[in-house]
Amino acid sequence: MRGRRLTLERALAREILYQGYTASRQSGLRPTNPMRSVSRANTMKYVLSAIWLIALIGYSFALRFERATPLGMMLLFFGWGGILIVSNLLPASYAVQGSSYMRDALYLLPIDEGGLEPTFARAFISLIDYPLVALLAGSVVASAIIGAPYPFLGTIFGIEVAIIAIEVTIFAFSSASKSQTKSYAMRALSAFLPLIFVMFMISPTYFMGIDVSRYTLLEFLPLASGAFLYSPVGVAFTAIWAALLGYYAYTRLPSAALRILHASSPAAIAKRVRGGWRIIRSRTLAILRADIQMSVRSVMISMLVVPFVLFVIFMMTTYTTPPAVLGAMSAYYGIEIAYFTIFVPYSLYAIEVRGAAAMRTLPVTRVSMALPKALLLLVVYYAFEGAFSAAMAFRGVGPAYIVPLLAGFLAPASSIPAAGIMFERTLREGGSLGTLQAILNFIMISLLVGVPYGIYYAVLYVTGVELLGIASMVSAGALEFSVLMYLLSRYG
Amino acid sequence: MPVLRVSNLRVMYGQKVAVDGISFRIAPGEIYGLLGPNGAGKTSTIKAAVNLVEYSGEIDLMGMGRPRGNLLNNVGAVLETPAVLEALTVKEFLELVASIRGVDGRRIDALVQAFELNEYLGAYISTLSQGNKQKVAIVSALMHRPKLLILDEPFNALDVKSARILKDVVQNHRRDGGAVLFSTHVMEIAERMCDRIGILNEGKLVMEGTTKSILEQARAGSLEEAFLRAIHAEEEVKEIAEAL
Repeated sequence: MRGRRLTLERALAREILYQGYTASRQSGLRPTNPMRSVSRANTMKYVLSAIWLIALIGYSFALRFERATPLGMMLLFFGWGGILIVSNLLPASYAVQGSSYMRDALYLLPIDEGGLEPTFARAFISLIDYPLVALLAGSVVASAIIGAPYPFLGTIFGIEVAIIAIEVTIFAFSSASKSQTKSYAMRALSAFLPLIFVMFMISPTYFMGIDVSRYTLLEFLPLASGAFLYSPVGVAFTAIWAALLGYYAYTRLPSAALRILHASSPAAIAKRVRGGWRIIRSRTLAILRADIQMSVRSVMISMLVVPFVLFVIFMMTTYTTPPAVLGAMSAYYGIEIAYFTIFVPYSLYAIEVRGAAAMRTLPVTRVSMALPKALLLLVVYYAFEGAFSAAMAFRGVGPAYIVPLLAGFLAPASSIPAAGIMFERTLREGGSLGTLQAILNFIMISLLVGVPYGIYYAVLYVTGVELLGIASMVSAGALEFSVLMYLLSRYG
Repeated sequence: MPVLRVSNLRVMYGQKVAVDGISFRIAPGEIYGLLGPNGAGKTSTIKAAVNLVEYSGEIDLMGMGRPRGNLLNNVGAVLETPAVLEALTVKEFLELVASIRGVDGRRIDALVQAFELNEYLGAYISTLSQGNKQKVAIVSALMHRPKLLILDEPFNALDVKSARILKDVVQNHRRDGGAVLFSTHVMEIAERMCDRIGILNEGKLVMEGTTKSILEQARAGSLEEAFLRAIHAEEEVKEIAEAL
């Protein structure tokens, strides 16, 4: 932004970004540079826009070879479009919660509140300027490659629904901002918003084959009407819904954005509590309890829920997949569930970034901070993989497919020390990580988790001995976990 | 043996030098005050003393090395921005700290009553005023009767009664052989409470000693005068005041 004139609109956008992305994540360890944090949030926006543009076009090439139905394609692009908008606007909408800084600053200036409405709206739109361009351009190109308008229509509906969802979230935040309990509950609920879109993104095979052409009543519904473009009614209703949703999203934006001005910090309510002190003697359990208490009051709850959502989708899939192919599919589903359990330790570490100074002044080591995460991951892993394995066994899948999943715990467990090291770096950076570093860390964790599984398949391929494959996988996981734990304990 | 020994401490944030090679010691039963203008390096020194920022040089706690991990059970720290977990209620946070420090409920009860926090035990820390957040941090720092108390501008947001209680607690802590490192802007408090004072300016320790020896070194009649002389701001203050 250097060199550009600082308009009120640009200053507001900057402040919204700062309040939403970074003010709520300060660790208290070292001074943070707000401009650096805002600049990182902007860089992330540019990077994500570029990735989405490439992904949409790339996907369209893949779709040329898939047997995707019109609605399947629309749902896929709906998910990709919606998530990019939501992920850029949702943190900004948190600026509404408990922050009266902007109101206090603006009320001291000679500005009419009514005149601020369009300024706030433009500030909000500037947060999604590049994503909008990337989505529109990407979906137009994708439609041209496929030779049908479904990618474009799906993306348009995704953008509109995402903006409306954010507006509803802002209104809800605003009405809940006077009570901290309601405020936390709203924040936790809002965290599920991205999951709606993520579901369409991560389960393309599940949605791709949805054929609704026989259910003609659906041609009157938003999004579904796009599957009936061969009929004039389908075309008309698609145009009407797209216009109506677009109009609603556009006209509500100024008043939603202005809600930031009316936000107020919740007042402390004097509240005596009954009962004595519940002091747990185990440090590990005490930290785990606090981690969970903080997670359920924050957006991190959505990360904890990701493995659960996947688990539900795959459990449904086990009942719709023929038993003959279920065995082969089980490894894919089981490993994917295992892979997504890494969100559990990651989210617990992320929640500790804020107020890291509080934990650092206590007599805890990095290893003792990692143990609660390991304990929770163990419970989550075996709850999901255990139930999934039981469901597959019930459907006649043999132990050769099930045992590797149950023995594979140490693969995601390696993500605990890896995430620990990553967050140590984050704290050294003042509580916010560089975009490139964040991407590299994510890739690194993904690879680490994949190594033991890769070794299992390699050994199985070479020797053909199941037991040897499992033993190699467990050994590789144990080695990886131990080395990373050692590095975590020695870090810094 | 000193409770805290700081040798050639240097703290940098990127290219900016916040603390530039300072050294000092705090003996048992001693209160050591850090004085200095804004940005002098007081908070960075204190954060380094509890291992919150990266540093070079040496910090030794009771001859056992760098204050980290389990060694921190000998330290109670109250930072300028209270180090609390804001998404927890006061009770939940104090329970967590008590669990980690191995403290029982009676001690916490006494401190909570003393600092009048019992009304707020069920309130989320994020909703508390700065003063009440400070009190929560103080209770968590005192609950395990640490050998070294580290206090960064501890009286800033406190009401008169709580400030007085904290001063008395600090004096009692010294009487019982505990050590205190604290920073303040308030000269009267430093003069009245500290056994020794270190004056920081631009990251360097420009003067150190008892109040009496500092007054002698600076040839000043008051600590405020000595302080302004130590940071070479006496003339500047006069000029600015006259210009205004």
